[in-house]
Amino acid sequence: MKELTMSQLILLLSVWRLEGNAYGVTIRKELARVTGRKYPYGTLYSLLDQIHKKGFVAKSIGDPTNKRGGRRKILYHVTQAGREALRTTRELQDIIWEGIPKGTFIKE
Amino acid sequence: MAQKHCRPPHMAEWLLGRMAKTGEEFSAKGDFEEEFAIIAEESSRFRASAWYWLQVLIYLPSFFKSSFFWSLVMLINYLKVALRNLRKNKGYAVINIAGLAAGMAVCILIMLWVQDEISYDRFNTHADEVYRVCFSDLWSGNRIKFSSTPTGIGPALEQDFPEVIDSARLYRMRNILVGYKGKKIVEEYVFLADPSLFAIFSFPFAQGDPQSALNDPQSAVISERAAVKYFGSSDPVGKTLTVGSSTDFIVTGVFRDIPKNSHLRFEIVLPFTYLKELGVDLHQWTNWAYNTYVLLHPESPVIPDRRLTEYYQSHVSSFENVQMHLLPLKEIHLRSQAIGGIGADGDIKYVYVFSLIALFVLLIACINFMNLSTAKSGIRAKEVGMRKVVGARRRDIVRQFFGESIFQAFVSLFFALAMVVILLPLFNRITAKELSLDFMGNLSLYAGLIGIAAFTGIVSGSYPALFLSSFHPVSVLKGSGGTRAKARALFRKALVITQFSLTVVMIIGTITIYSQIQFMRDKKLGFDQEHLVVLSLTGTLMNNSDAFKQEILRNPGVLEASLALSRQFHSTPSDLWRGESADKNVRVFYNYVDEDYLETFGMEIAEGRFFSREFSGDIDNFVLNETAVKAMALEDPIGKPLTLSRRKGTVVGVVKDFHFETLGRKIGPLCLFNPGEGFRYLFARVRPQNLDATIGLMKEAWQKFDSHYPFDYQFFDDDFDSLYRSERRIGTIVKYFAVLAVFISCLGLFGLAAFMAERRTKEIGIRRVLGASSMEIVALLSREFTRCVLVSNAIAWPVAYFVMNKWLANFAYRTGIGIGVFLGAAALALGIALLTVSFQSAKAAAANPADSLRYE
Repeated sequence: MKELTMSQLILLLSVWRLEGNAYGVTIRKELARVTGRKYPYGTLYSLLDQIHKKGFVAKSIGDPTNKRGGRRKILYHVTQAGREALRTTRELQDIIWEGIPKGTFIKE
Repeated sequence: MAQKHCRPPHMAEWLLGRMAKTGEEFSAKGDFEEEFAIIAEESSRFRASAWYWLQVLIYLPSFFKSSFFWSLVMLINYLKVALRNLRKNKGYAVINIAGLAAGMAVCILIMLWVQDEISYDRFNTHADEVYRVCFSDLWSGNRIKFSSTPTGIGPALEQDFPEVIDSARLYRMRNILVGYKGKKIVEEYVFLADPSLFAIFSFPFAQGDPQSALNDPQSAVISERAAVKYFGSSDPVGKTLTVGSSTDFIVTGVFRDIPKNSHLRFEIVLPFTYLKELGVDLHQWTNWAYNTYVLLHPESPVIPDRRLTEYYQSHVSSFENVQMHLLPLKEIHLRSQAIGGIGADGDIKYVYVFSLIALFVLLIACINFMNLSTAKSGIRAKEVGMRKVVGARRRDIVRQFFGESIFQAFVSLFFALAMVVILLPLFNRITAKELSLDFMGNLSLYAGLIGIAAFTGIVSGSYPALFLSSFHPVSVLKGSGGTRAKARALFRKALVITQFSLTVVMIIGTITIYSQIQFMRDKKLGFDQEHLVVLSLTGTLMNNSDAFKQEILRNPGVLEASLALSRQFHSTPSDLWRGESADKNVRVFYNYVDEDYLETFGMEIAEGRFFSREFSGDIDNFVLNETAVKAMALEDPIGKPLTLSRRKGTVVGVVKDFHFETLGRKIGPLCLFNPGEGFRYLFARVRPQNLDATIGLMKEAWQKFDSHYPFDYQFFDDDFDSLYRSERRIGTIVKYFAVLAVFISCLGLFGLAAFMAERRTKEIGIRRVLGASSMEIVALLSREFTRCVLVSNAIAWPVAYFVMNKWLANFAYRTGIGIGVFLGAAALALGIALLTVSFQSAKAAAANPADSLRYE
């Protein structure tokens, strides 16, 4: 039941990888590194909102820095449910990919 | 890069704050700013700003989608329901909108008027620093203000007070003949003024230099209007105007026509020094006939009255009670209340009163809206219940109903504006103004209009919104709620009572004002003011006044004729009778008159005799009025020597008191002199028959004596009537307001009655079937409203009595407010209300019961 969409999956994994320092700017950077695409903040926030509503991430309030004009950040953490969802998605993907060798994609 | 602390663009940041999730906008702003800082550091500030903006703009769609979408859907639904409701109840919608539009139209008119009243003199660059020098004096125990000054005050203040930068003196010459070549015109607005006048006030010049135009004693400055009048299209500068019979002035400047909202208004300005040629001392301290304005230093505080009074008293010893003060320019129009001023005809009281009345009328219209919507609430209640069941919160419902009322208010505003455009000419005629709906460059007009519409919408929507939103969905949908219906009806009654109370107060106000005007017109003045022709003597006529009078008396249509210095009676602080102590001093009004004055005016002598040719030495004699004798406490006045106004003489007679001022003032002490010369007016009592022939002969006589001045005449009672112009104007305005109030109230009543009749269709049908007569049905339906109107009368009477008594207190001689006025107003209100209601009830009663009972 708890499969993730592709973008949710990428996002959730990024947050996990950044654990402890996952907030708007870093997440966006990580996404750009992984996908090669710069997400607009609007999209990023609404995606974050989605997975937050589903309970995959939790928010906490971080420290302000000077760079941010003295504003605090909202840090995201992957919750148990999030991990659960990641695991299910992974399992599902493993099943789907079974029997298809990696070399298939190489152009002939 | 050196930019350490660059900030993202403000607008974008604000927009972002609005879009981000409330409570967490700091995080979004922080993220944005962090990246902004990075980009700013790496490339440029401009790049960073561009990026910031771009991101915010990209944010917009996703924001709208999530948060606006549903409110938009709801908005469309609200609008649809509002329009459906309007369409379904066309009659009520028309009543609502017509009422609101009428109320708003009144408000807009009053707003324009108030705006104009308070705009007086504010166009002056130095509006905050210009003051008029004013005086006050004790006058039989009352302190009376007057705005005329002696000639010496202005220059002296300028010299002795460092705060005073500049001063200008003004003197108005009335009825002065101004000529250019063959063209001769009697001018009303000729002023003599110091050259500094145009430095103190901001009257822009079309030609010439404002600073120096009046420096030359032979110069004249005229308005553009006057320039066209005298010189047509040719260049006025350098042309010569002849003033009076022989003095020439050369035009050196032309100023733009003076705006309507200036208390000073002149067509031709001549140098003040011309008065010297007329024999006036330009530096005297004791003759109040001139106006003085001073310009204070912008930083200096206003000079305290005490200092000014001490200053005056240290120069002049003979007027112990005279005090001096400064009146700010911006207050002259509305708050001066002084005598002897130039153009100060406004009154702040009326600004308040009219604003209040406008508010009343609007309130009455709002009540209509409230009443009809609560009356219809039974039907709307189902909708509210339904909305609540599917998840509307209370504030959604409140918002919906406010939205509806505000929507209607703005629709009404549209109609109100149309009404204002139609009514403006009439309103301008009544108020003697030139108001216009000027949408260009009048920003406060927009603010005012939107303010009025919003106010109307919120007030009229408040009750329905708060009331309907409080419904319990279950009880509403089940169809119960009987107790609430009763409370609703009670509230409706209270509103109708409020409405009619306001209306009745206005009706009583109108009747009282009119009866006071009638009272003043009918009051015996102590002399006969009818068929009295007034001729203003000018030029050569003034020097030959006696011969001219003889010529006029030869006219068969003339019964009597008399000469006098002035039409009215004057008084300044120097016209003083000194008692034993300063507080017993008496200020007297005076006039110079000849021997036939008493006869001509039909006044009566109380004691002694009037001036007479049979006695010599009348030049030194006085005739007092009864009030003067009383004020001076003279036991046996005849033959008493007196010193009055620096004249010594003997009292030869006492004339019975007569009203020489408006009936607003008590008859004052009066003294008549007979110097035998210096007369400026001729009064002729004429036969009422063949007036045209009489006037024609007068004209011939005039032309025999004076070929310069055109013949002009007036009737004395016209002049006297104009004293009550402002009262009549107020009467007219209040009358129109009252009519509107009645109209709007009745509209509401009409709607309510229609609604009642509709709801009780079946009851009426059954009653008819069981044998009730039409009359009984009408009575049944009218009873409730009749009771409401009667109660509102009970409320309105004391209020109206209190208010109108206050107004009447302005008049020394006044009519009482009889019970008849109240009964009349009550009857009027009741009659109109019944008429309105009975139309509907008669319709209901006449309906065929078979039709009303058939359905279902």
